[in-house]
Amino acid sequence: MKPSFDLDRLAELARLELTAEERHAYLRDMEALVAFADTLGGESEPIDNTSQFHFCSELRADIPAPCTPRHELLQSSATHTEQFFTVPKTVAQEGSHE
Amino acid sequence: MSELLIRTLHEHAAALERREYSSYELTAAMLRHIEENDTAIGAYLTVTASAALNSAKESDRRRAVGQTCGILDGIPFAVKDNLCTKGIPTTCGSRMLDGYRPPYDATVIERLSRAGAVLLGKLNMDEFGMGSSTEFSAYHITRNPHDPQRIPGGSSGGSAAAVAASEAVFTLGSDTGGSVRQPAAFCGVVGMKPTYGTVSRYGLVAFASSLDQVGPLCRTVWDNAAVLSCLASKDPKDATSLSHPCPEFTSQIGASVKGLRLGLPKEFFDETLSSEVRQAIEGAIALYERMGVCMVPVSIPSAKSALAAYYILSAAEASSNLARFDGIRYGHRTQEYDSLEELYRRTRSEGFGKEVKRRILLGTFALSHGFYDDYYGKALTTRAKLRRELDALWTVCDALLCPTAPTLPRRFADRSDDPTATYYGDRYTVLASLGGNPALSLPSGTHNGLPVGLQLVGKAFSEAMLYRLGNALEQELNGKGDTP
Repeated sequence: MKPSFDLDRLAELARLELTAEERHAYLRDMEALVAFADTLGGESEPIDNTSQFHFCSELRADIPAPCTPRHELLQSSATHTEQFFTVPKTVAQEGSHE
Repeated sequence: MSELLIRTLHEHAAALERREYSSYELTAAMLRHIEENDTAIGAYLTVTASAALNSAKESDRRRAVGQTCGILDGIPFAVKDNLCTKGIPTTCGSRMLDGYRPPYDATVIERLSRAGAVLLGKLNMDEFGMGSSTEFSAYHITRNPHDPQRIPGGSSGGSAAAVAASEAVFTLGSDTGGSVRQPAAFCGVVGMKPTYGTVSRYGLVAFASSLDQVGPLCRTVWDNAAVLSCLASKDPKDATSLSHPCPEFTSQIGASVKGLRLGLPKEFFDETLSSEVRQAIEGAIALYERMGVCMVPVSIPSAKSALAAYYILSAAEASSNLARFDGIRYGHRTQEYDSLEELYRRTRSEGFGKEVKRRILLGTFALSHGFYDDYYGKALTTRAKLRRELDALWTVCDALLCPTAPTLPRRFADRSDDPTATYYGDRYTVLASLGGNPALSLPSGTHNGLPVGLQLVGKAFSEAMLYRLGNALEQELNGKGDTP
């Protein structure tokens, strides 16, 4: 028998917070979806991961080209300085317990 | 409605060439119609009226000095809101991208712009392409122009409804598991999902990268072929676009279809097919037989597992693709957070809607330790088997014929809370998606005024033949798209 899934762990991996109401609804949905997914028959076989692109493609030459100006990219961000995207501190400051 | 608005692309192009009216007059008339009509339909999320009128003036200027760019020059169109348009809101139907204005154009937008087509605006869709009814847009629903109490299909519901309601001459949608073809069927227009790699995905916000393709929706088969001819090309910015030479897709239209062989997959004509759809499809089969097309019964054993494989693979790819929406570089950012992790979690929980979260959770599950082989691995295996089965079919038939959707478009009130019940509606379209094959949906009759769509699936790069087959049926049905 297959192990059952842990919805809280999935939410953590997916970086989602679920309310109690959402948790209840998604638990029911996921049970239905996993049962639906179980209709897949047969065994997993080794598959070439690139086989989905079964027509030959070619990569472009590795030549430097102009990129989108920095200020245009920064404008899409909710908060930024003149040069950088801003994020909360991730490294604790000296003397700080954060 | 003005007769002008229900003309086909082909007719508009000829009229513009004759100077019967100008692109400015056509564009202005269409914008007035959108303003008067779209509150009842809800096809548009953004209308770019001022820019459209300027583009139309430019087209008229080119025409006045003999510099027209081709058949699309001066033709008003609109695109699904998951195609990046420089400086124009691109929301993907999601609160996550509310107010986002991309700093660049998608390649398909660039190509249409170079061809002189006039962008009218951006069209409603299920959030990030996840849904089959356009009810999962974070902004508003879109109604079916044939019956406003019914869904237009999805996820390109705005794209199909806009063409059916004469609010654009043609539109672009994107098709991951049927998102161009199913709304085309429900709204009585022609929708094409090209061979994977035929059209650049650069600037298409990714849902499931191994499945996503951009495709046109139009009133007629000829129009659709003409638009695809403009879109198809190798794009250095998309490593999965192909350098296969693309013919002029209108080239075979009008040629005889006598002697061509159409495969009828027995798995798609079982008892789950509604009687209304079955009747229309059988009528189309009879018409093809009268034209000398041979019907060949075929079987695709893996088709029964295709839907589950599709939902696992697309959800897995979506869970990875949508990881980029974290509130740092673009889109929504939560107001309250104490740490980076909390910023990510709150931003994503506030920004994504119910269906998107459901698919992200399913995809995360399919890729997680302990489940990968049983779900993602098996789904890849099923996809590979399906490909082999499809490849074998092309020795006995030239294309497959089947319904696009198993039922007529449902009423909004008949919505099911069971996600799997909704997913079953995609069972005829996911085949071509998983195979990477081209597939055309076109009207094949109506039932009580509601359109029924027929699907033609071909081998890779057989779009020109699908258009030929589709046009032959269209001529027999004397259609140029249903105008509600």
